[in-house]
Amino acid sequence: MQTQRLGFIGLGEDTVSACLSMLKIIDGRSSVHWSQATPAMADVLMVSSLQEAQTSQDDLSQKPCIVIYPSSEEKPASAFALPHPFRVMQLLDVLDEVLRSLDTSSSHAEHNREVSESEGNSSLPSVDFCASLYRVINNKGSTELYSSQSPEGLLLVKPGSHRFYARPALLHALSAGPVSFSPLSPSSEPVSEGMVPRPLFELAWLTGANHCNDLLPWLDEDSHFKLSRWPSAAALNKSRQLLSLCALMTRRALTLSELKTLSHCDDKALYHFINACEISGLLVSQVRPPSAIAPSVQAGAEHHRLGGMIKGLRTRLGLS
Amino acid sequence: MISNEFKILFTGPMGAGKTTAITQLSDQECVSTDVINTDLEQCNKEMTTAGLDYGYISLPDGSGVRLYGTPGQERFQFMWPILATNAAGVILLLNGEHPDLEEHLELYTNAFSNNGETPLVIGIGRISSDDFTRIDRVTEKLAAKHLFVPVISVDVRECEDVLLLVETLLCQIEANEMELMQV
Repeated sequence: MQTQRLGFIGLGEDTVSACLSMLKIIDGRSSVHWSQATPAMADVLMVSSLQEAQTSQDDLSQKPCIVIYPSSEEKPASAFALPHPFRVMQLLDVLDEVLRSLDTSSSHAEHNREVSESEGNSSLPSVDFCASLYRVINNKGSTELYSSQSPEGLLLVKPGSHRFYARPALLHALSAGPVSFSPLSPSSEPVSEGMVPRPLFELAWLTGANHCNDLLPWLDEDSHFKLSRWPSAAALNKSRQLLSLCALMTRRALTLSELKTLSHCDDKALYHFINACEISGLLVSQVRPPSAIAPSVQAGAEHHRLGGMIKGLRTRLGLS
Repeated sequence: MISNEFKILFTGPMGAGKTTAITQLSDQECVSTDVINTDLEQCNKEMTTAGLDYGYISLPDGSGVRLYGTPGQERFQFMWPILATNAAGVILLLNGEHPDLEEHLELYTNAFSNNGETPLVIGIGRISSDDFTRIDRVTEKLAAKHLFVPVISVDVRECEDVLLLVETLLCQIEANEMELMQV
């Protein structure tokens, strides 16, 4: 596998550290291996938006440059840009874009051709269904309709209207257990008679359920996880553990072990939840350097001042 | 807050189902200050709450949970801060069919969310079962305002739905308390 060197200019230690952790995660998922180098030795630069003007004036200006800008500000007029803080998949996307522009080797060009054939404009190197669903849901509107084949029948996904379509036999199979799908690809196939519309979160949820033994491969177990908003209540199936996870994770980023302690979820339920939220585009994972880690959650934190009252109310209403 | 008082506030515009929800939960007959509805343009129902609704759930240890409902008409807004004082959490009920849904959402979240500090759950009624986008749109709109609150499609005539709102609110209150403890 070819190696590409990434140099950092003007970025904080925590950003560089987070980025290096993400590079480890995506190692094997990108078509090249990424390593750190000094800016002079690097093939690609990652530059703070504050330093961009200076970099463009010196000897480094010939190198592809990914500008890191605060997410609160407008995207700079640069070919490659990433809002800070960024996520693993965003980093992977921009690195792939850079690779395409470099067109460094015939093997990479070949790889692009294959991906292009299978996924249209999509640049995801992985051909995993979860990853393709993640991309389709999170890049709504780029294509109107996507399809995937399975032994149980055709699956159509319309991200713009938050729906997917399948025949009842496939829906039944999906609810019953894992179904093997090909990656989603742009489609012009019409929604045929007999296909039932279902909400897209349901597909994300069921797909996440098929990956409940561990986290999705691009997620890092050591990350802190947060939700960008509440998932659909219908997906939560009135489960207190899941409601509790949502309430906790919309307030602060927590590690897997903190989430287990606070929500009393087992590993399977937690992985299912995290994976489903990731596919739905609701998960924010933050890889933090040790110095930035917040004080860990204390055991027994649930014994708060309203604990007795809440327990009594749950008992009284039959919610226990 | 008095140690043995736990107060949940139900709010929302006229006809959203506040009185019905409180009636579903209350041990005793809900105390309502209903008057004849003179604002039929806003909501076509005979009676409406003018002052407040009040219900009570007694708990096994002798304490209890007080359930308050705000009046639905906006001209009684002066009652809102009075009723919201010391509330452990707020359940906002909205009518999904109402043309002013987004305005109502804005008005009530601004009045009761306390910038996300107060545990809040939003129940939206009368959403068609094949409308998969309405709830998402509301949730996204709230997230853009940094309000990360659950939005649930409900029918408050169904006790199960009202219990789901309460359970979701309790999870929010617990998470809030845990966060306060960490701080």
